[in-house]
Amino acid sequence: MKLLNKINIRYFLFSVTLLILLGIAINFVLFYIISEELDEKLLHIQKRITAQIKNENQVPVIKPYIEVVEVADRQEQSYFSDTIIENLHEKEMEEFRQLISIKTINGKTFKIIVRESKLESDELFESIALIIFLTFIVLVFILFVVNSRIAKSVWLPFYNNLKRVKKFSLNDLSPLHLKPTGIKEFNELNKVIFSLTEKVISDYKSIKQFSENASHEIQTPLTIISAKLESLINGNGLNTEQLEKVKSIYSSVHRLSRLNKSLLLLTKIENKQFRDDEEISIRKVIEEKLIEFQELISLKNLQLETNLNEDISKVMSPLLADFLVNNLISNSINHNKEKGKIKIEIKERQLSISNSGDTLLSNSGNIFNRFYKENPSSKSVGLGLAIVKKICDTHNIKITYSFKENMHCFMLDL
Amino acid sequence: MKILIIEDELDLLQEIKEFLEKEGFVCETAHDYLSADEKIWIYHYDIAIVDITLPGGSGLQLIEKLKQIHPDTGILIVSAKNSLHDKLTGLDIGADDYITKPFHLAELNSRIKSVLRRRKFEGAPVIVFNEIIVQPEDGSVKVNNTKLILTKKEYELLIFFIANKNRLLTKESIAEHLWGDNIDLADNFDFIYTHINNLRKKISKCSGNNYIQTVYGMGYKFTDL
Repeated sequence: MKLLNKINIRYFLFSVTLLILLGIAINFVLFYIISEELDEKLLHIQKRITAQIKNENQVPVIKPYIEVVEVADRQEQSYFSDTIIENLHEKEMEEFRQLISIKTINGKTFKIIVRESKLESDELFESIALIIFLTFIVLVFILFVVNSRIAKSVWLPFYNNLKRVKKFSLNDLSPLHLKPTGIKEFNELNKVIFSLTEKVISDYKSIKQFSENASHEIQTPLTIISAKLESLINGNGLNTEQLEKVKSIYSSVHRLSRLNKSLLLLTKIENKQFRDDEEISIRKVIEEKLIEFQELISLKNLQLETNLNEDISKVMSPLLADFLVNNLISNSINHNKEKGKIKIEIKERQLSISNSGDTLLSNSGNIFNRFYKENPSSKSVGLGLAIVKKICDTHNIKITYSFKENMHCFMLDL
Repeated sequence: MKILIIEDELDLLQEIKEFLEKEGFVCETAHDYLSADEKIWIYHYDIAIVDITLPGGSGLQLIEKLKQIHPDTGILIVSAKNSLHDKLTGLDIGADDYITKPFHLAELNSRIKSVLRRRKFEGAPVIVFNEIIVQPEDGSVKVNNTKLILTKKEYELLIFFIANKNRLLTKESIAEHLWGDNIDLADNFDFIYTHINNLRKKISKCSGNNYIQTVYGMGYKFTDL
């Protein structure tokens, strides 16, 4: 759940609870005040009636509001009570508040009942309650809106920076400089993120540097081993059995050095050590490569089909363009079948290179992985397509693999 | 022919020296910047093999000096860095070729001979091996005065063989020579076999000798009969 929503919901729930509690409290207070007011009014009327009887000896009666009855001598007292009386005009039962008091005036004992309809005070109570309630709701609503507006604007820099953090990639090799927000906590967070990314990047760089240096350092001993083995093979001092063994060592060393070179290349592409400094005509690279591969293609009796009427120009390192096309074409030769087909096509900034094949790959998702081999006994190093993928990734080229109509197809959006 | 080998790895230096001496070159060695610097001031060499990373200085500086003192010395850079930038710089300041470690000695040999040809014959180099005559200038090959039509790879193969005659060439070194080391061809040894067979057939068609011997499991040897 979004932080803002969470805050809003909390706020809303709190407001509603508060509103209900306040409503109940106000209800009681109002009710009490209004009843009190009514009782006072009744008492006041009762006093005036008493005074009137005393001074003018007049007994006013306005039914059902004022009733005065002479009663037998009794202890003076007065009390309030609620009652229901039928309204004479409207024939409806109506609630009344009444003050019944027994008073002895001028030697006579009267029972004075003063009544006031509760209808009016109920109406008053209702309208006051309504006004207060509505004011509350409007207030809560306004606060709610203002609060979410403020929260939104306060959190905006946070969300903007979050977007940038999400886009962070180690390959950019630059630590995250987030925009200052003017809020202390956010600025602190930005600082932490900056130093964190800086550290991650420097660690990443040093690991990359290490693997590159290691690969470099391996080259020289490999050269020495290979040179010594070559001279052993060329010398006459070995018998057949020893020669076999030397040959086997030699092949392994050779394999190791090819592997090392490929890994070095991958690391270098990752380290962005190739400058994208030339406008490359992809068509030209393909044409050059096809001349180079021409003999291999005819040796394998492959049928080559090209559609290179369009051209794609791409700014990249010429060496990488060469590797890209080279590896894709050699892959299509390597994994072709006897008398198969190779199809190379450029169409609307899309390059597709496909070759015949009988079966769907068992793990086509792994095809670009390092050291992945569809056929484990293959002598290939298994880095060709990983290099292709790496070049594509570092140059914003989308590469997809598909198998359609018995053709393995690599599609590049350049 | 006098060759100066500048390489800081003594084992490799020794191996290259032995190899080139067998090929009939006179070799001098230097294992750091200072001793190399001294030697290029005193002597004159036909070829210098220069490693770029040296204790005490950069091979590239040596090449610049060498170019000033003896502009006619052929220069071959040997580097552990397969970097296009280094290669371009090296070639820019006057090196003739650039070879990256690890390399095959046969490859080194073939490059040295190619540099020598370019340097010595000043545009009219001819490679002669008995009845086979190659003119690298226009890429033509004649056997017993009959012109041989070779594919590009067959031609490269022939030159490689002649440069390394009487030596066993492993399939690996041939593959790397023909296709470079960046190619990951699973069945490139079969391709070599086909290429060599085609080359043999073409030469024998012009009643040339079959100089290419197959050394079972190892590679091939181009020998004078």
